[in-house]
Amino acid sequence: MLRMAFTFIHTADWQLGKSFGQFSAEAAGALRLARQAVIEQIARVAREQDAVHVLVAGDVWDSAIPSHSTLRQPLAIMGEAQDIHWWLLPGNHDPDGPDGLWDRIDAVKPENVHTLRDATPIEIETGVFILPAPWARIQHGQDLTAWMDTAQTPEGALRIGLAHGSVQGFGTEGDTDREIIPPSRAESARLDYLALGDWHARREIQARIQYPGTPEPDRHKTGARGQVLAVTLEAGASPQVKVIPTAQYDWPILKIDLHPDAVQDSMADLRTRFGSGQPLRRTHARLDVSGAMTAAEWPVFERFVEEMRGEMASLDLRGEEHVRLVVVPEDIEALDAQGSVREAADALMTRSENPDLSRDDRQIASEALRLLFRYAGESA
Amino acid sequence: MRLTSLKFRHVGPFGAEGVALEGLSAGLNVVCETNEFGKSTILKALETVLFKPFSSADKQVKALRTDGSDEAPEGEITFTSEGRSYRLQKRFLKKKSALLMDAETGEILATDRGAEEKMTELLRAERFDSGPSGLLWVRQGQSMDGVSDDGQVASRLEGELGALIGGEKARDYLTKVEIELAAYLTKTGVLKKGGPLHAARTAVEITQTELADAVRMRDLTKATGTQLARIQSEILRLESDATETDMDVQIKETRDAIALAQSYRNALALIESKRDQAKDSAQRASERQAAQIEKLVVFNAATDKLTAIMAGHENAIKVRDEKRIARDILRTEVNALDLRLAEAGRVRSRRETLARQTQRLEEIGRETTRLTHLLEQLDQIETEASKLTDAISELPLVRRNDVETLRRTADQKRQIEAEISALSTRLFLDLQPAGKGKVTVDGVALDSGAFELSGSAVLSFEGIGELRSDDGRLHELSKEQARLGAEYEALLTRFNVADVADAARAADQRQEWEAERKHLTTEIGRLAPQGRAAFETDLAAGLSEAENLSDQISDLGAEIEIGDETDFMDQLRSMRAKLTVLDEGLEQLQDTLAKADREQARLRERITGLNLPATESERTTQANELAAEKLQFEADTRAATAKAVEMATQAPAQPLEMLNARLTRLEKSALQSRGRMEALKTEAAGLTARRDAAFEGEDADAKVAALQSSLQKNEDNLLRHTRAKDVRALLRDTLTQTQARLRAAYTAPVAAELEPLLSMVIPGARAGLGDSLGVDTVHRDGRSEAISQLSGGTQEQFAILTRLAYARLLARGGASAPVILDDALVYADDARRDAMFDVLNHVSSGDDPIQLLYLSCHRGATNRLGGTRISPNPWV
Repeated sequence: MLRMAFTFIHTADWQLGKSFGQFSAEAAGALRLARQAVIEQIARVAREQDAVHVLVAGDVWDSAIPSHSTLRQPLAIMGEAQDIHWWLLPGNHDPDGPDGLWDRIDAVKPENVHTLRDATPIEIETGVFILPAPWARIQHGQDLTAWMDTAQTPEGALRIGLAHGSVQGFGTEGDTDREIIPPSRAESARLDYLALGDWHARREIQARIQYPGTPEPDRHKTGARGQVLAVTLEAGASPQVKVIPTAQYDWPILKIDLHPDAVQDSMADLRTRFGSGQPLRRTHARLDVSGAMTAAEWPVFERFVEEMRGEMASLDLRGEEHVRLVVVPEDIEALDAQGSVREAADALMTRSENPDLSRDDRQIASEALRLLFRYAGESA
Repeated sequence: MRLTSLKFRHVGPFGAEGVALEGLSAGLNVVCETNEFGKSTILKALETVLFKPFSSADKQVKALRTDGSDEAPEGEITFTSEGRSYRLQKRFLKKKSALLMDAETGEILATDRGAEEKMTELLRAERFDSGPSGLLWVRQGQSMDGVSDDGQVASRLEGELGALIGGEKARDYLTKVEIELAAYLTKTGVLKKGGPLHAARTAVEITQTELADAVRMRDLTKATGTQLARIQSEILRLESDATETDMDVQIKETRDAIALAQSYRNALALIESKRDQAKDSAQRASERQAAQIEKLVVFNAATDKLTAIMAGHENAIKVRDEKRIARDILRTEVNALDLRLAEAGRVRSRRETLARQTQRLEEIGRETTRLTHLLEQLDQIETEASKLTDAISELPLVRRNDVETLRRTADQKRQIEAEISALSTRLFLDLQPAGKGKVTVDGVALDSGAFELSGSAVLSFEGIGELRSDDGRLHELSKEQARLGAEYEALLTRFNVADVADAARAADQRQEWEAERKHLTTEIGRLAPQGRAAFETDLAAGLSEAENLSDQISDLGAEIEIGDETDFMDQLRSMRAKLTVLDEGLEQLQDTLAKADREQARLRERITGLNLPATESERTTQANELAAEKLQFEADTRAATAKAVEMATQAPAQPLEMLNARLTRLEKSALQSRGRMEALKTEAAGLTARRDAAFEGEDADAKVAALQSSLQKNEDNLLRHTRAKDVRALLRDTLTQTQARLRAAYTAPVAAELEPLLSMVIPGARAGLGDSLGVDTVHRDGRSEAISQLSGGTQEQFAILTRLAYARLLARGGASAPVILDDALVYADDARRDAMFDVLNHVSSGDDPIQLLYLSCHRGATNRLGGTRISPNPWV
């Protein structure tokens, strides 16, 4: 049996129902809605790619005990896309375990939604088989793809492995004990493609082993943004994989090393980098700062941060406490005082540089000095 | 600066004549004038001239003018500064001018503004970093706050200190940080409720609680799911078990088997019942036959026995009648013997009485003998007693105590005689030969020579007379001797004795005999406690009774010869035994007859009770019929038994009881399975409902995650606010500490000057200087007090001492400043005022004296102050 090219959408790690508790209720709600809305986006992508099958490689839901609304609304969205078949695999976040999640799904799912609860080949289309590796509990401690090596499918059929977890030797996130899928699995199981999930960042292990990353990111990441993979398989050929962006939100991490008298330039650079992706209102950025600033520059930088926070979906500033305050004679002059104020400024400066004190105490002294300068600036 | 003279004109009450204070010393100057004199005007004029620009026309300057006068106020102040004398002249309002000249040479040093600038220089000093400097001129007041009217000086000092500790900026920064810190902490450093730090901490606590609740709810939801899965698995297992065991089929098969077994058991029971009935009938027939036979046996025996009894009954009646006759004869003989035996008994009774009376007679004889013996003893003792009484009566009537009296009188008599003899006289007799033997004493002739002539002796001179002593004592003794001799003789006569020894013997004999007589009397009482007459009465009664008894015994002895009782008794016993035997025989016969009657009745009743046919032939027919019936029933029994044995071979394989037990077990098991299944399904429904209810709400995991994130955020917020608080606290503390250190450095010299002055007034007290450069705190007796809490008088004393301290400090630096005290110390008590006066004298003398100008209206007080008296005069 020989089959012509077969195209499908490979996605994973939707983690529907994720809370985003670190944000305000409004921002968290928008992010949760975005994770549902991306299903519609994936359906559109599938149609654009002439794919009728969407393979979700685990962690469809963020929890094994989602509420009814969290469970049903995404299923309803999938049901509305009647021309698409959705193949859902239990992952470590939503295992097919005693919580009964997948019983609940089976009880309410529309017909075009298929659950992959057994490790047995499923023919999703003539000559195309999915070899699923579903999770039955949060920790299983074994390679769930091992059975694929001996799975029987008709001669010439396409074999698509669908699994969730880390690949040995490539683990950069998650628990190491889950890094147990051997990179040779595609070859040993004669797979035409091994569609994996778990890593939220896009990653290609081999041409036949791919992580699509999450279609709608949920945390700050460097590099790629949210996307799905449009995969075309053809007998005797390497898979053709297209990366198609799907996310509404960017979650960049920016780093900057501040230098006295050059902070203005740094801020201009940051403004450019912040605006390079999604609009600022849909950008959740993290800014890691280091280096040093003068007393005069510090409030300017603080105003910049406040401005960005107003414009962006969120800005997580980190490392400010490690930024060193550089005091120049002009700063002291700006105090416009003598006697005890000068002496106090000197004492705080000495304290902020005293190696015998704890780092925390030094930082408190530095911040107290900055506060004194701020007062001076306010009264100037 | 030291003031030398002050002159003012057209000021206050002084008008055109003006006023002049001249000759001011470098030390304490005292101006004592009455109220309304114008002391305050002088001070205001001095202040105006020193510090007001000559061009000034402000209210203070105008108010200085004399009432109703348009003349311009003017003044002249002469002073020394740094070794040079100056004179400052100023005129205000009209022809206003200022002039500074050398007071000694009259050289004009500067005029108008130049003069005032020069004055400013003279009032100023260069040293700035070690305490106050320049001119200190202080008027009376409560504190430095109250001397704002000293114009430049107070401001100058405050300016110096302000510049040193940061001035307005420092206060501004400190105020700002304290305001910001007040949002976090209360004044006492406690976390402020409602503040951001408190709110952040509260938020953390609330979130922790919410998170714990959410985790609990999530775990509950998970546990519910797990429990539901377990129950559903159990339901499946039970359903599977029910399918595999096919319990209902087993129950049906068992029930069918039970029905078959029950049917068999019923049929068998019917046959066995018939068999048992036949067996019972055969048994009963056999029993009836046996009973018939037994009745016949009894009937024959009873008939024979009845016949025999009837024959013996007649013979027994005959024997009974014969024995009754013999018994009556014997009974008559026994009665006769009973009469004779009764008579013999009476004789035996009298004999016994005789024996008892004879015994009594013997007892009476013994008693009369004893009484007679006792009476003899009494007679003997009474005789002895009578003899003793007679002997005693013959003894002299003297007792032992009488002997003592007699002996004492004899002793006294002898003693007197001895004393008389002791009254001797030593004489020497010189006889002539013719006189020899003619001189005698008591008949004994004396020879020549010395001799003792006793008092009682009489020297006889033959033919001449006698010679005796005529001593007075001898007369008294002689009288006493005579009295005692008469008394002694009277006693001998009274007791009828010859001398004391005789009396003693008679007394001893009397006592001995009287004791013996007493003993005898006691013995008589013991032998006859009732008296002798009682013995004699008893003896007479005993003798009379003995005589009477002897008569009775004689009478009884005559009657006792009537008969022999023993013979009668033997005969009577023999006859009575025979009579008894006869009576018993008769009784037995009577019993036998009665028993035979009862036996006859019983036998007849029994024969009737057998209910047998009356005739022999009828009884034979009845026996044959019973035998035939028995044989028939035995045949029926054998047939039924054979049929039951045949059915036993057709019994079911399992007994009915086993089948019933199985059915019970199966039904119970099925019921339990249904109950268990029902319970599990109910529980599963409940869990499903509970879980569905949980799913209707928020995502449990998401809520936990959200709260964890929220908690992290709140904790970060708490850290941020804690950090903000710590930062502000550090800045506040740093600013406060540096200001305090600098202030302390600035005021330390003043405090050093103040301390010895203060100790002169209030020993042991220390003062703390505040921002106003005055004393704000007083430390004494181990506690601290705010100056405002002290009395007005004490506050004034501290204010004056502080000014003096400043002034001394300035004086030591060569920049002496006068101190003016206007009506000060009016509230001080005498002791404090005197102490303050000491201080004023102390600081205004020595190497660096302070110039003091003390103005007062209290002449009495100022009289004790000392110093230089300054009298105001017109300004000429």
